[in-house]
Amino acid sequence: MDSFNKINPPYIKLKDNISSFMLDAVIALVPLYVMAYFYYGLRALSLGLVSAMFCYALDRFCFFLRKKRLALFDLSALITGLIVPLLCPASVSYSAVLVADMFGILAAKIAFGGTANNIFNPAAAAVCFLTISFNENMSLFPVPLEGKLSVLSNEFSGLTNSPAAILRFGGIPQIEISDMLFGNFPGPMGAVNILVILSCFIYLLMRKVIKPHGTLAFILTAFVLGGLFPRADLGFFRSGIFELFSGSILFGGVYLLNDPSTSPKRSEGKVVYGVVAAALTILFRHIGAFEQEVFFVILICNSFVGIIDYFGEIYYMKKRQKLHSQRKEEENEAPATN
Amino acid sequence: MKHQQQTKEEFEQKEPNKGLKLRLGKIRKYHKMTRNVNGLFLDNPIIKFALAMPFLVVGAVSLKHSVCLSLAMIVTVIPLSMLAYFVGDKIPDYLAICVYPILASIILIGVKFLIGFYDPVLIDSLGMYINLIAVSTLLISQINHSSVRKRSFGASTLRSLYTCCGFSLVVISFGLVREIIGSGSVWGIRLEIIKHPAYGAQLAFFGFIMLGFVMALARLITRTIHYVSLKSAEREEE
Repeated sequence: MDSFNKINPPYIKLKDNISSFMLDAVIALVPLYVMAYFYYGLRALSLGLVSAMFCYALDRFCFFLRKKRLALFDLSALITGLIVPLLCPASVSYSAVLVADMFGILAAKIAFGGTANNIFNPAAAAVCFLTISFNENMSLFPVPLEGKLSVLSNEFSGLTNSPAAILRFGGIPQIEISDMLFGNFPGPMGAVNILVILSCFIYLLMRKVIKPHGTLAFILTAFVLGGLFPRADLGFFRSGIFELFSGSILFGGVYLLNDPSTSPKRSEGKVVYGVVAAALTILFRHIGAFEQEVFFVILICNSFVGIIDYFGEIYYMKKRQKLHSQRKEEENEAPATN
Repeated sequence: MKHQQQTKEEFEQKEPNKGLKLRLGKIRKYHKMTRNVNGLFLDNPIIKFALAMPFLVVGAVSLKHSVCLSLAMIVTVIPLSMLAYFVGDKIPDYLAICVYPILASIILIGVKFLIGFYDPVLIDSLGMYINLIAVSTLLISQINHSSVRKRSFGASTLRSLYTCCGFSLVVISFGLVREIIGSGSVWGIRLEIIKHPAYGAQLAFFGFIMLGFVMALARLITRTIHYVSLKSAEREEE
Protein backbone atom coordinates (compact mmCIF):
# COMPACT_ATOMS: atom_id res chain seq x y z
CA MET A 1 0.00 0.00 0.00
CA ASP A 2 2.87 2.32 0.89
CA SER A 3 4.60 1.72 -2.41
CA PHE A 4 1.33 2.42 -4.20
CA ASN A 5 1.09 5.80 -2.49
CA LYS A 6 4.63 6.72 -3.51
CA ILE A 7 3.89 6.33 -7.23
CA ASN A 8 3.32 9.60 -9.01
CA PRO A 9 -0.36 9.73 -9.74
CA PRO A 10 -1.64 9.42 -13.28
CA TYR A 11 -5.06 8.98 -11.77
CA ILE A 12 -5.92 12.68 -11.56
CA LYS A 13 -7.67 13.81 -14.67
CA LEU A 14 -8.06 17.53 -15.19
CA LYS A 15 -11.26 18.83 -16.64
CA ASP A 16 -9.34 21.50 -18.56
CA ASN A 17 -6.85 20.50 -21.23
CA ILE A 18 -5.18 22.07 -24.25
CA SER A 19 -8.21 21.45 -26.46
CA SER A 20 -10.56 23.12 -23.99
CA PHE A 21 -8.18 26.11 -23.69
CA MET A 22 -8.14 26.44 -27.47
CA LEU A 23 -11.90 26.16 -27.60
CA ASP A 24 -12.11 28.96 -25.01
CA ALA A 25 -9.85 31.12 -27.18
CA VAL A 26 -12.12 30.45 -30.19
CA ILE A 27 -15.17 31.35 -28.09
CA ALA A 28 -13.45 34.58 -27.02
CA LEU A 29 -12.97 35.51 -30.68
CA VAL A 30 -16.59 34.95 -31.70
CA PRO A 31 -17.99 38.19 -30.12
CA LEU A 32 -15.47 40.19 -32.15
CA TYR A 33 -16.84 38.61 -35.32
CA VAL A 34 -20.39 39.42 -34.20
CA MET A 35 -19.40 43.08 -33.79
CA ALA A 36 -17.58 43.04 -37.13
CA TYR A 37 -20.74 41.65 -38.75
CA PHE A 38 -22.76 44.43 -37.14
CA TYR A 39 -20.43 47.13 -38.48
CA TYR A 40 -19.37 45.74 -41.88
CA GLY A 41 -21.88 43.07 -42.83
CA LEU A 42 -21.49 39.53 -44.08
CA ARG A 43 -18.06 40.15 -45.60
CA ALA A 44 -16.46 40.16 -42.14
CA LEU A 45 -17.87 36.72 -41.40
CA SER A 46 -16.96 35.29 -44.80
CA LEU A 47 -13.36 36.55 -44.43
CA GLY A 48 -13.09 34.86 -41.05
CA LEU A 49 -14.65 31.62 -42.25
CA VAL A 50 -12.45 31.36 -45.36
CA SER A 51 -9.29 32.17 -43.41
CA ALA A 52 -10.06 29.76 -40.55
CA MET A 53 -10.95 26.87 -42.85
CA PHE A 54 -7.86 27.48 -44.98
CA CYS A 55 -5.50 27.55 -41.98
CA TYR A 56 -7.05 24.43 -40.47
CA ALA A 57 -6.86 22.53 -43.77
CA LEU A 58 -3.28 23.66 -44.44
CA ASP A 59 -2.16 22.65 -40.95
CA ARG A 60 -3.71 19.20 -41.33
CA PHE A 61 -2.22 18.80 -44.81
CA CYS A 62 1.27 19.66 -43.49
CA PHE A 63 0.92 17.12 -40.69
CA PHE A 64 -0.21 14.55 -43.24
CA LEU A 65 2.91 15.27 -45.35
CA ARG A 66 5.11 14.87 -42.27
CA LYS A 67 3.36 11.58 -41.48
CA LYS A 68 2.47 12.75 -38.01
CA ARG A 69 -0.82 12.44 -36.22
CA LEU A 70 -2.55 15.64 -35.29
CA ALA A 71 -5.15 15.66 -32.53
CA LEU A 72 -8.61 16.20 -33.97
CA PHE A 73 -9.28 19.04 -31.54
CA ASP A 74 -6.01 20.87 -32.11
CA LEU A 75 -7.62 24.21 -32.90
CA SER A 76 -4.46 26.31 -32.91
CA ALA A 77 -4.54 26.76 -36.69
CA LEU A 78 -8.21 27.70 -36.47
CA ILE A 79 -7.32 30.42 -33.93
CA THR A 80 -4.61 31.77 -36.23
CA GLY A 81 -7.08 31.78 -39.11
CA LEU A 82 -9.67 33.62 -37.03
CA ILE A 83 -7.24 36.23 -35.68
CA VAL A 84 -5.68 37.29 -39.02
CA PRO A 85 -8.82 38.81 -40.65
CA LEU A 86 -9.73 40.55 -37.39
CA LEU A 87 -6.52 42.57 -37.67
CA CYS A 88 -7.23 43.63 -41.25
CA PRO A 89 -9.64 46.16 -42.70
CA ALA A 90 -12.96 44.61 -43.72
CA SER A 91 -12.10 45.65 -47.28
CA VAL A 92 -8.98 43.46 -47.47
CA SER A 93 -8.90 41.06 -50.40
CA TYR A 94 -9.34 37.33 -49.84
CA SER A 95 -6.14 36.53 -51.71
CA ALA A 96 -4.09 38.77 -49.41
CA VAL A 97 -5.52 37.06 -46.32
CA LEU A 98 -4.88 33.60 -47.75
CA VAL A 99 -1.27 34.46 -48.65
CA ALA A 100 -0.74 35.80 -45.13
CA ASP A 101 -2.32 32.67 -43.62
CA MET A 102 -0.03 30.50 -45.71
CA PHE A 103 2.98 32.47 -44.53
CA GLY A 104 1.89 32.28 -40.89
CA ILE A 105 1.26 28.53 -40.93
CA LEU A 106 4.18 27.44 -43.12
CA ALA A 107 6.94 29.82 -42.09
CA ALA A 108 6.07 30.58 -38.47
CA LYS A 109 4.49 27.33 -37.33
CA ILE A 110 5.16 24.19 -39.39
CA ALA A 111 8.80 25.12 -40.05
CA PHE A 112 9.43 25.00 -36.29
CA GLY A 113 7.61 21.71 -35.70
CA GLY A 114 3.96 22.67 -35.39
CA THR A 115 1.76 23.37 -32.39
CA ALA A 116 3.57 24.32 -29.15
CA ASN A 117 6.98 24.21 -30.85
CA ASN A 118 6.73 27.52 -32.65
CA ILE A 119 8.97 30.35 -31.47
CA PHE A 120 7.02 33.10 -33.19
CA ASN A 121 3.31 33.73 -33.04
CA PRO A 122 1.89 32.60 -36.42
CA ALA A 123 -0.89 35.18 -36.45
CA ALA A 124 1.53 38.03 -35.67
CA ALA A 125 3.88 36.79 -38.40
CA ALA A 126 1.00 36.60 -40.87
CA VAL A 127 -0.17 40.14 -40.10
CA CYS A 128 3.39 41.48 -40.35
CA PHE A 129 3.75 39.84 -43.76
CA LEU A 130 0.41 41.29 -44.79
CA THR A 131 1.38 44.77 -43.59
CA ILE A 132 4.70 44.71 -45.44
CA SER A 133 3.42 43.11 -48.62
CA PHE A 134 0.00 44.68 -49.03
CA ASN A 135 0.42 48.01 -47.28
CA GLU A 136 -2.13 49.75 -49.51
CA ASN A 137 -4.72 47.14 -48.59
CA MET A 138 -3.91 47.42 -44.91
CA SER A 139 -3.69 51.18 -44.39
CA LEU A 140 -7.14 52.26 -45.61
CA PHE A 141 -10.26 51.26 -43.73
CA PRO A 142 -14.01 51.34 -44.46
CA VAL A 143 -16.18 53.50 -42.21
CA PRO A 144 -18.39 51.35 -39.93
CA LEU A 145 -22.18 51.33 -40.49
CA GLU A 146 -21.86 53.17 -43.82
CA GLY A 147 -23.49 50.49 -45.94
CA LYS A 148 -22.67 46.81 -45.84
CA LEU A 149 -19.64 45.69 -47.83
CA SER A 150 -20.01 43.30 -50.75
CA VAL A 151 -19.00 39.74 -49.92
CA LEU A 152 -17.28 38.91 -53.20
CA SER A 153 -15.97 42.22 -54.56
CA ASN A 154 -12.47 43.43 -53.75
CA GLU A 155 -12.92 47.01 -55.00
CA PHE A 156 -14.28 49.53 -52.49
CA SER A 157 -14.70 53.27 -52.37
CA GLY A 158 -14.89 55.63 -49.42
CA LEU A 159 -11.96 54.10 -47.59
CA THR A 160 -10.28 56.34 -45.04
CA ASN A 161 -7.36 56.55 -42.64
CA SER A 162 -7.58 55.19 -39.13
CA PRO A 163 -7.05 57.35 -36.00
CA ALA A 164 -3.69 55.60 -35.56
CA ALA A 165 -2.59 57.01 -38.94
CA ILE A 166 -3.85 60.48 -38.00
CA LEU A 167 -1.83 60.31 -34.78
CA ARG A 168 1.21 59.17 -36.72
CA PHE A 169 1.06 62.31 -38.85
CA GLY A 170 0.74 64.50 -35.73
CA GLY A 171 -3.01 65.15 -36.05
CA ILE A 172 -5.71 64.79 -33.42
CA PRO A 173 -8.43 62.21 -34.21
CA GLN A 174 -11.95 63.56 -33.82
CA ILE A 175 -13.63 60.63 -32.09
CA GLU A 176 -15.84 60.47 -29.05
CA ILE A 177 -14.67 58.21 -26.23
CA SER A 178 -17.99 56.30 -26.41
CA ASP A 179 -17.46 55.59 -30.13
CA MET A 180 -13.95 54.48 -29.28
CA LEU A 181 -15.17 52.05 -26.63
CA PHE A 182 -17.70 50.50 -29.02
CA GLY A 183 -15.27 50.44 -31.96
CA ASN A 184 -17.37 52.79 -34.08
CA PHE A 185 -14.46 54.27 -36.03
CA PRO A 186 -12.34 53.17 -39.02
CA GLY A 187 -9.79 50.56 -38.08
CA PRO A 188 -9.00 46.84 -38.16
CA MET A 189 -12.38 45.12 -38.00
CA GLY A 190 -11.79 43.20 -34.78
CA ALA A 191 -9.14 45.17 -32.96
CA VAL A 192 -11.03 48.35 -32.17
CA ASN A 193 -14.02 47.00 -30.20
CA ILE A 194 -12.49 47.92 -26.85
CA LEU A 195 -15.37 46.86 -24.58
CA VAL A 196 -15.76 43.51 -26.32
CA ILE A 197 -12.03 42.82 -26.12
CA LEU A 198 -12.02 43.67 -22.41
CA SER A 199 -15.06 41.41 -21.83
CA CYS A 200 -13.30 38.58 -23.65
CA PHE A 201 -10.19 39.23 -21.53
CA ILE A 202 -12.28 38.82 -18.38
CA TYR A 203 -13.83 35.64 -19.80
CA LEU A 204 -10.39 34.16 -20.54
CA LEU A 205 -9.23 35.11 -17.05
CA MET A 206 -12.25 33.50 -15.43
CA ARG A 207 -11.72 30.33 -17.45
CA LYS A 208 -8.04 30.42 -16.34
CA VAL A 209 -6.87 30.21 -19.95
CA ILE A 210 -4.53 33.17 -19.48
CA LYS A 211 -2.82 34.94 -16.60
CA PRO A 212 -3.38 38.69 -16.19
CA HIS A 213 0.24 39.69 -15.45
CA GLY A 214 1.57 40.13 -18.97
CA THR A 215 -1.51 41.86 -20.37
CA LEU A 216 -1.89 44.25 -17.45
CA ALA A 217 1.81 45.15 -17.47
CA PHE A 218 1.60 45.71 -21.23
CA ILE A 219 -1.52 47.89 -21.10
CA LEU A 220 -0.41 49.97 -18.11
CA THR A 221 3.07 50.58 -19.52
CA ALA A 222 1.65 51.50 -22.93
CA PHE A 223 -0.80 53.90 -21.27
CA VAL A 224 1.86 55.59 -19.12
CA LEU A 225 4.47 55.83 -21.89
CA GLY A 226 1.82 56.92 -24.41
CA GLY A 227 0.80 59.69 -22.01
CA LEU A 228 4.36 60.73 -21.22
CA PHE A 229 5.44 60.89 -24.86
CA PRO A 230 2.43 62.20 -26.82
CA ARG A 231 2.56 62.28 -30.60
CA ALA A 232 0.05 65.12 -30.87
CA ASP A 233 -0.88 68.10 -28.71
CA LEU A 234 -2.92 66.07 -26.22
CA GLY A 235 -2.78 65.86 -22.45
CA PHE A 236 -1.31 62.91 -20.54
CA PHE A 237 -4.62 61.10 -20.08
CA ARG A 238 -6.03 61.66 -23.58
CA SER A 239 -2.76 60.78 -25.24
CA GLY A 240 -2.55 57.57 -23.23
CA ILE A 241 -6.14 56.65 -24.07
CA PHE A 242 -5.69 57.39 -27.79
CA GLU A 243 -2.49 55.35 -27.95
CA LEU A 244 -4.19 52.46 -26.20
CA PHE A 245 -7.49 52.40 -28.06
CA SER A 246 -6.72 53.71 -31.56
CA GLY A 247 -4.55 50.86 -32.83
CA SER A 248 -4.31 47.17 -32.09
CA ILE A 249 -2.48 47.43 -28.75
CA LEU A 250 -5.34 46.05 -26.68
CA PHE A 251 -6.03 43.18 -29.07
CA GLY A 252 -2.33 42.29 -29.19
CA GLY A 253 -2.09 42.48 -25.40
CA VAL A 254 -5.05 40.18 -24.82
CA TYR A 255 -4.82 37.62 -27.62
CA LEU A 256 -1.27 37.53 -28.95
CA LEU A 257 0.81 38.33 -25.90
CA ASN A 258 -0.75 35.42 -24.01
CA ASP A 259 -0.06 32.72 -26.58
CA PRO A 260 1.16 29.89 -24.30
CA SER A 261 3.90 28.63 -26.62
CA THR A 262 5.42 32.05 -27.35
CA SER A 263 5.18 33.77 -23.96
CA PRO A 264 7.23 33.30 -20.76
CA LYS A 265 6.16 30.58 -18.34
CA ARG A 266 6.50 32.43 -15.01
CA SER A 267 4.37 35.38 -13.90
CA GLU A 268 7.40 37.61 -13.28
CA GLY A 269 8.67 36.79 -16.77
CA LYS A 270 5.30 37.72 -18.19
CA VAL A 271 5.48 41.12 -16.49
CA VAL A 272 8.95 41.79 -17.93
CA TYR A 273 7.74 40.61 -21.33
CA GLY A 274 4.71 42.92 -21.19
CA VAL A 275 6.71 45.97 -20.09
CA VAL A 276 9.37 45.48 -22.78
CA ALA A 277 6.73 44.90 -25.46
CA ALA A 278 4.83 48.05 -24.48
CA ALA A 279 7.97 50.19 -24.38
CA LEU A 280 9.01 48.95 -27.82
CA THR A 281 5.49 49.50 -29.19
CA ILE A 282 5.47 53.14 -28.10
CA LEU A 283 9.01 53.58 -29.45
CA PHE A 284 8.00 52.07 -32.80
CA ARG A 285 4.95 54.32 -32.89
CA HIS A 286 7.29 57.29 -32.82
CA ILE A 287 9.92 56.04 -35.26
CA GLY A 288 8.21 53.17 -37.15
CA ALA A 289 6.90 53.17 -40.69
CA PHE A 290 3.66 51.27 -40.14
CA GLU A 291 0.51 51.87 -38.12
CA GLN A 292 0.19 48.36 -36.72
CA GLU A 293 3.62 48.05 -35.15
CA VAL A 294 2.47 46.00 -32.16
CA PHE A 295 2.75 42.79 -34.20
CA PHE A 296 6.33 43.52 -35.21
CA VAL A 297 7.08 44.16 -31.55
CA ILE A 298 5.46 40.87 -30.53
CA LEU A 299 7.64 39.01 -33.04
CA ILE A 300 10.76 40.74 -31.68
CA CYS A 301 9.76 39.98 -28.09
CA ASN A 302 8.99 36.33 -29.01
CA SER A 303 12.67 35.86 -29.74
CA PHE A 304 13.56 36.93 -26.16
CA VAL A 305 11.15 34.56 -24.43
CA GLY A 306 13.82 31.85 -24.06
CA ILE A 307 16.20 34.30 -22.36
CA ILE A 308 13.45 35.61 -20.06
CA ASP A 309 12.55 32.03 -19.08
CA TYR A 310 16.21 31.16 -18.51
CA PHE A 311 16.82 34.05 -16.14
CA GLY A 312 13.41 33.46 -14.57
CA GLU A 313 14.41 29.91 -13.67
CA ILE A 314 17.73 31.12 -12.18
CA TYR A 315 15.82 33.69 -10.13
CA TYR A 316 13.42 31.00 -8.88
CA MET A 317 16.21 28.59 -8.07
CA LYS A 318 17.98 31.22 -5.94
CA LYS A 319 14.69 32.10 -4.27
CA ARG A 320 14.05 28.43 -3.41
CA GLN A 321 17.62 27.99 -2.13
CA LYS A 322 17.18 31.04 0.09
CA LEU A 323 13.89 29.70 1.46
CA HIS A 324 15.41 26.28 2.02
CA SER A 325 18.39 27.71 3.93
CA GLN A 326 16.05 29.89 6.03
CA ARG A 327 13.96 26.85 6.96
CA LYS A 328 17.06 24.89 7.89
CA GLU A 329 18.26 27.71 10.09
CA GLU A 330 14.86 27.85 11.78
CA GLU A 331 14.90 24.10 12.33
CA ASN A 332 18.39 24.30 13.82
CA GLU A 333 17.41 27.16 16.07
CA ALA A 334 14.19 25.49 17.31
CA PRO A 335 15.80 22.58 19.31
CA ALA A 336 18.38 24.97 20.74
CA THR A 337 15.66 27.23 22.16
CA ASN A 338 13.72 24.20 23.47
CA MET B 1 23.56 0.74 -23.55
CA LYS B 2 21.96 -2.44 -22.23
CA HIS B 3 18.96 -1.75 -24.38
CA GLN B 4 21.21 -1.31 -27.44
CA GLN B 5 22.97 -4.62 -26.79
CA GLN B 6 19.68 -6.41 -26.47
CA THR B 7 18.44 -5.02 -29.73
CA LYS B 8 21.63 -6.08 -31.49
CA GLU B 9 21.33 -9.61 -30.12
CA GLU B 10 17.69 -9.76 -31.05
CA PHE B 11 18.51 -8.58 -34.54
CA GLU B 12 21.24 -11.19 -34.95
CA GLN B 13 18.92 -13.91 -33.67
CA LYS B 14 16.28 -12.94 -36.17
CA GLU B 15 18.58 -12.57 -39.14
CA PRO B 16 21.81 -14.42 -38.38
CA ASN B 17 23.39 -14.07 -41.81
CA LYS B 18 22.82 -10.38 -42.22
CA GLY B 19 24.33 -8.87 -39.10
CA LEU B 20 24.37 -5.07 -39.04
CA LYS B 21 26.25 -4.68 -42.31
CA LEU B 22 25.07 -1.82 -44.49
CA ARG B 23 24.97 -2.33 -48.20
CA LEU B 24 26.57 0.89 -49.37
CA GLY B 25 27.65 -0.32 -52.79
CA LYS B 26 24.82 1.39 -54.61
CA ILE B 27 25.24 4.62 -52.70
CA ARG B 28 28.95 4.64 -53.52
CA LYS B 29 28.09 3.97 -57.16
CA TYR B 30 25.62 6.87 -57.12
CA HIS B 31 28.20 9.20 -55.57
CA LYS B 32 30.82 8.13 -58.10
CA MET B 33 28.39 8.71 -60.94
CA THR B 34 27.43 12.21 -59.77
CA ARG B 35 30.86 13.23 -58.44
CA ASN B 36 31.59 15.63 -61.25
CA VAL B 37 28.22 17.34 -61.37
CA ASN B 38 27.24 17.29 -57.72
CA GLY B 39 28.07 20.99 -57.35
CA LEU B 40 25.02 21.62 -59.49
CA PHE B 41 22.27 20.05 -57.43
CA LEU B 42 22.57 18.22 -54.15
CA ASP B 43 26.06 19.36 -53.20
CA ASN B 44 25.19 22.84 -54.30
CA PRO B 45 27.42 25.48 -52.66
CA ILE B 46 24.47 27.47 -51.38
CA ILE B 47 21.97 24.75 -50.58
CA LYS B 48 24.35 22.38 -48.84
CA PHE B 49 27.14 24.59 -47.54
CA ALA B 50 25.38 27.99 -47.34
CA LEU B 51 28.27 29.68 -49.16
CA ALA B 52 27.67 33.10 -50.70
CA MET B 53 24.34 33.37 -48.91
CA PRO B 54 24.01 37.19 -48.84
CA PHE B 55 23.79 37.28 -52.64
CA LEU B 56 20.85 34.91 -52.55
CA VAL B 57 19.04 36.40 -49.59
CA VAL B 58 19.43 40.10 -50.31
CA GLY B 59 20.75 40.41 -53.85
CA ALA B 60 18.55 38.00 -55.80
CA VAL B 61 15.30 39.96 -55.77
CA SER B 62 14.61 39.77 -59.49
CA LEU B 63 15.68 37.80 -62.54
CA LYS B 64 17.83 40.67 -63.82
CA HIS B 65 19.65 41.00 -60.50
CA SER B 66 20.19 37.25 -60.32
CA VAL B 67 21.59 36.96 -63.84
CA CYS B 68 23.88 39.91 -63.19
CA LEU B 69 25.19 38.36 -59.95
CA SER B 70 25.63 34.95 -61.58
CA LEU B 71 27.61 36.36 -64.49
CA ALA B 72 29.81 38.37 -62.16
CA MET B 73 30.43 35.30 -60.00
CA ILE B 74 31.30 33.04 -62.96
CA VAL B 75 33.59 35.62 -64.55
CA THR B 76 35.41 36.18 -61.25
CA VAL B 77 35.64 32.69 -59.76
CA ILE B 78 36.72 30.61 -62.77
CA PRO B 79 39.79 32.64 -63.89
CA LEU B 80 40.95 33.08 -60.29
CA SER B 81 40.62 29.40 -59.45
CA MET B 82 42.55 28.60 -62.67
CA LEU B 83 45.25 31.02 -61.57
CA ALA B 84 45.25 29.54 -58.08
CA TYR B 85 45.87 26.08 -59.55
CA PHE B 86 49.22 27.25 -60.96
CA VAL B 87 50.41 29.80 -58.42
CA GLY B 88 48.38 28.91 -55.33
CA ASP B 89 51.17 27.00 -53.59
CA LYS B 90 53.71 29.73 -54.37
CA ILE B 91 51.78 32.55 -52.71
CA PRO B 92 51.94 32.52 -48.89
CA ASP B 93 48.61 32.63 -47.02
CA TYR B 94 49.09 36.12 -45.56
CA LEU B 95 49.62 37.48 -49.09
CA ALA B 96 46.87 35.40 -50.68
CA ILE B 97 44.32 37.12 -48.42
CA CYS B 98 45.10 40.40 -50.22
CA VAL B 99 46.07 39.21 -53.70
CA TYR B 100 42.92 37.32 -54.69
CA PRO B 101 40.40 39.96 -53.53
CA ILE B 102 42.41 42.65 -55.35
CA LEU B 103 42.46 40.60 -58.55
CA ALA B 104 38.74 39.85 -58.12
CA SER B 105 38.04 43.55 -57.66
CA ILE B 106 39.91 44.34 -60.88
CA ILE B 107 37.79 41.81 -62.77
CA LEU B 108 34.63 43.16 -61.13
CA ILE B 109 35.42 46.71 -62.26
CA GLY B 110 35.30 45.43 -65.83
CA VAL B 111 32.10 43.47 -65.17
CA LYS B 112 30.45 46.50 -63.60
CA PHE B 113 31.45 48.64 -66.56
CA LEU B 114 29.94 46.15 -69.03
CA ILE B 115 26.70 45.70 -67.07
CA GLY B 116 26.48 49.46 -66.49
CA PHE B 117 26.74 49.89 -70.24
CA TYR B 118 23.63 47.69 -70.61
CA ASP B 119 21.64 48.95 -67.62
CA PRO B 120 23.14 51.57 -65.24
CA VAL B 121 20.20 51.33 -62.82
CA LEU B 122 20.85 47.63 -62.29
CA ILE B 123 24.35 48.25 -60.96
CA ASP B 124 23.04 50.97 -58.63
CA SER B 125 20.26 48.75 -57.32
CA LEU B 126 22.68 45.90 -56.63
CA GLY B 127 24.64 48.26 -54.42
CA MET B 128 27.52 46.68 -52.57
CA TYR B 129 26.51 43.12 -53.41
CA ILE B 130 28.37 43.05 -56.71
CA ASN B 131 31.56 44.29 -55.02
CA LEU B 132 31.11 41.76 -52.22
CA ILE B 133 31.87 38.96 -54.68
CA ALA B 134 35.58 39.86 -54.28
CA VAL B 135 35.50 38.55 -50.71
CA SER B 136 32.75 35.95 -51.03
CA THR B 137 33.11 32.58 -49.34
CA LEU B 138 32.43 30.79 -52.61
CA LEU B 139 35.44 32.45 -54.25
CA ILE B 140 37.68 31.74 -51.27
CA SER B 141 36.64 28.06 -51.06
CA GLN B 142 37.22 27.53 -54.78
CA ILE B 143 40.64 29.17 -54.64
CA ASN B 144 41.60 27.02 -51.65
CA HIS B 145 40.40 23.89 -53.41
CA SER B 146 42.34 24.69 -56.58
CA SER B 147 45.51 25.66 -54.67
CA VAL B 148 45.99 22.19 -53.15
CA ARG B 149 45.99 20.51 -56.61
CA LYS B 150 44.13 17.37 -55.61
CA ARG B 151 42.90 16.85 -59.15
CA SER B 152 44.06 17.63 -62.68
CA PHE B 153 43.77 21.15 -64.06
CA GLY B 154 40.79 20.21 -66.24
CA ALA B 155 38.92 18.49 -63.40
CA SER B 156 39.62 21.37 -61.04
CA THR B 157 38.38 23.94 -63.56
CA LEU B 158 35.35 21.82 -64.31
CA ARG B 159 34.58 21.65 -60.60
CA SER B 160 34.73 25.46 -60.36
CA LEU B 161 32.47 25.73 -63.37
CA TYR B 162 29.92 23.32 -61.92
CA THR B 163 29.99 25.09 -58.57
CA CYS B 164 29.42 28.46 -60.23
CA CYS B 165 26.64 26.96 -62.35
CA GLY B 166 25.09 25.53 -59.17
CA PHE B 167 25.24 28.98 -57.61
CA SER B 168 23.68 30.52 -60.73
CA LEU B 169 20.95 27.91 -60.86
CA VAL B 170 19.82 28.60 -57.31
CA VAL B 171 20.23 32.38 -57.51
CA ILE B 172 18.33 32.61 -60.81
CA SER B 173 15.52 30.36 -59.54
CA PHE B 174 15.20 32.42 -56.37
CA GLY B 175 15.29 35.67 -58.34
CA LEU B 176 12.59 34.44 -60.69
CA VAL B 177 10.27 33.26 -57.92
CA ARG B 178 10.79 36.37 -55.81
CA GLU B 179 10.20 38.66 -58.78
CA ILE B 180 6.98 36.87 -59.70
CA ILE B 181 5.63 36.90 -56.14
CA GLY B 182 7.08 40.24 -55.07
CA SER B 183 6.45 42.47 -58.05
CA GLY B 184 4.28 40.36 -60.34
CA SER B 185 6.70 40.53 -63.28
CA VAL B 186 9.40 38.55 -65.10
CA TRP B 187 12.51 40.40 -66.38
CA GLY B 188 10.62 43.63 -65.70
CA ILE B 189 7.63 42.62 -67.85
CA ARG B 190 4.38 42.83 -65.92
CA LEU B 191 2.31 39.65 -65.59
CA GLU B 192 -1.40 40.34 -65.79
CA ILE B 193 -2.32 37.19 -63.86
CA ILE B 194 -0.88 38.50 -60.59
CA LYS B 195 -3.17 41.26 -59.38
CA HIS B 196 -1.71 41.79 -55.91
CA PRO B 197 2.05 41.17 -55.74
CA ALA B 198 3.36 40.57 -52.22
CA TYR B 199 6.20 43.06 -51.78
CA GLY B 200 7.43 41.17 -48.72
CA ALA B 201 8.85 38.45 -51.01
CA GLN B 202 11.60 40.86 -52.05
CA LEU B 203 12.81 41.46 -48.52
CA ALA B 204 15.67 39.61 -46.86
CA PHE B 205 13.52 37.68 -44.39
CA PHE B 206 11.65 35.97 -47.22
CA GLY B 207 14.97 34.96 -48.80
CA PHE B 208 16.07 33.33 -45.54
CA ILE B 209 12.77 31.47 -45.14
CA MET B 210 12.76 30.32 -48.75
CA LEU B 211 16.36 29.14 -48.46
CA GLY B 212 15.43 27.17 -45.34
CA PHE B 213 12.64 25.38 -47.17
CA VAL B 214 14.84 24.64 -50.20
CA MET B 215 17.60 23.28 -47.92
CA ALA B 216 15.08 21.01 -46.21
CA LEU B 217 13.82 19.80 -49.59
CA ALA B 218 17.37 19.05 -50.78
CA ARG B 219 18.01 17.10 -47.58
CA LEU B 220 14.81 15.12 -48.09
CA ILE B 221 15.81 14.27 -51.68
CA THR B 222 19.31 13.15 -50.60
CA ARG B 223 17.91 10.96 -47.85
CA THR B 224 15.31 9.48 -50.20
CA ILE B 225 18.02 8.61 -52.74
CA HIS B 226 20.10 6.93 -50.02
CA TYR B 227 17.10 5.05 -48.69
CA VAL B 228 16.03 3.84 -52.13
CA SER B 229 19.63 2.78 -52.92
CA LEU B 230 19.90 0.80 -49.67
CA LYS B 231 16.55 -0.89 -50.17
CA SER B 232 17.24 -1.85 -53.78
CA ALA B 233 20.64 -3.29 -52.74
CA GLU B 234 18.92 -5.34 -50.06
CA ARG B 235 16.31 -6.59 -52.52
CA GLU B 236 18.98 -7.56 -55.03
CA GLU B 237 20.88 -9.51 -52.40
CA GLU B 238 17.76 -11.38 -51.34
